[in-house]
Amino acid sequence: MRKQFKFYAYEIVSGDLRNSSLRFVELLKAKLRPELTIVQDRCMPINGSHDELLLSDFSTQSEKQFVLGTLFRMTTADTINNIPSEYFKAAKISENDLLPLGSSDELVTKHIHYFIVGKKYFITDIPNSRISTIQKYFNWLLDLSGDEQLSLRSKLDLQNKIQLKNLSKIIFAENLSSSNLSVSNKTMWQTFGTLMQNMLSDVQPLDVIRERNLLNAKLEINFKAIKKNVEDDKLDAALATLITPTTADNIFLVLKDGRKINAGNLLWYREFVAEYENVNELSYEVNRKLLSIFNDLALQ
Amino acid sequence: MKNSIVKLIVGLVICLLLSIGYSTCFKNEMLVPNSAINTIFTIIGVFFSVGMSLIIASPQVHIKNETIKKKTADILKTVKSIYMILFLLVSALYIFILNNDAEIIIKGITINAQDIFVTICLYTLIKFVMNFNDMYNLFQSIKDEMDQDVVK
Repeated sequence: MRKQFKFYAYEIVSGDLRNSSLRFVELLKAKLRPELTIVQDRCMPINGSHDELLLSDFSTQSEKQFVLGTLFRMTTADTINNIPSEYFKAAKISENDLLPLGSSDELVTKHIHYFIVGKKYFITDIPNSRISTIQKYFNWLLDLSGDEQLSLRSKLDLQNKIQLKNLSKIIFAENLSSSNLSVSNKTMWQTFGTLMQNMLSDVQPLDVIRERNLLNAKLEINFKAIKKNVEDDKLDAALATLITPTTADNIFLVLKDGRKINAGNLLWYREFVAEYENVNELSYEVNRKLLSIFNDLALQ
Repeated sequence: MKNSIVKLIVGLVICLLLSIGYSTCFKNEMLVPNSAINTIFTIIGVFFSVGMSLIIASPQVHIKNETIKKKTADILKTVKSIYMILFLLVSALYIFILNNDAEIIIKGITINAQDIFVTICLYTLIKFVMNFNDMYNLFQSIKDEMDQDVVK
């Protein structure tokens, strides 16, 4: 069997944790001492859903400053339906015919994610859009609040992609133009009608005015002159502060040659294809890869 | 505004080409009878007056949202300008054809002022009606939203 992974790296940036960069790992290791914790204590309900997050498995070594772990996103068995194979021979499957996988007391895994966290980096296969939930989870697990809270910043991979002296401007835009919002299959006559309407009328409907002026917000930061002696790693740090995992896709970097790069493409990641016979083997392969990525990053 | 002026110029050029094409293909045949010209001009005059009244009676002053208010003001300004440009153009052409029966032939291409007038009149009429209709719909949407706010 094969399974494809995309591992992203996040830098640990929160105030107190950064000042004593080992602190987060130390806190986590202390929390995960087997005599202090059982699985049930580590289940966090996710607001607004039946889901729960759980740090299910972990490996810590006293002499090494990292934690290798597995996170489960679980849900109650009654919210997931089973589709018996004979249903696929019928003409259609009605929603009413689906059978819940179990009762509301039972939990089933929805997603399994892997991570490794060290003094500086948090590396995981969790997509950017869900990383804020993971932050919340660790803050909840370690009872962190205020300045102590874990805050993760996407690591960017700028090498060979962008140089500071070539950067012209940064555009922050909500990517909601009217053309993106209206998904429609128009007939030839309707398209012709719209074209004629646009040609002959000078008045826009209220919805279009609102979409174009309220939703399509755009902020541009222009660079007129950049000092040549500023190093690229400083740009890396500055951009990483601006580009958060959830907003990366709406940020564009415009270079002096006119090229427009989506910040989402600048996120650091490593792809990995695991080939395995059973789940044990998959877990071993993924953990081995995570450790190797972690060591590579530590050397940089 | 710039966009609307470009559209207007494109529309007028198309009208000109259509009327020249008609005059060249159907020499000595008028697009509409002379008696209908006065009626067309009167209808345009009526639509011009009604359209301008609608612009003046716009609910713009009651709009609180600055973005919508500014955009609506821009639209009204554009429509007012388009109405005035077209009405002045049509009036000038009307006065011109009342006093002249101009038909110039250049290298086999016939340019008949009356055909040009009629084509531009039809274009103006369609533009007036469509702008009037869209303006009415826009104001209605704004009023509906205002009423909802009041109810809330």
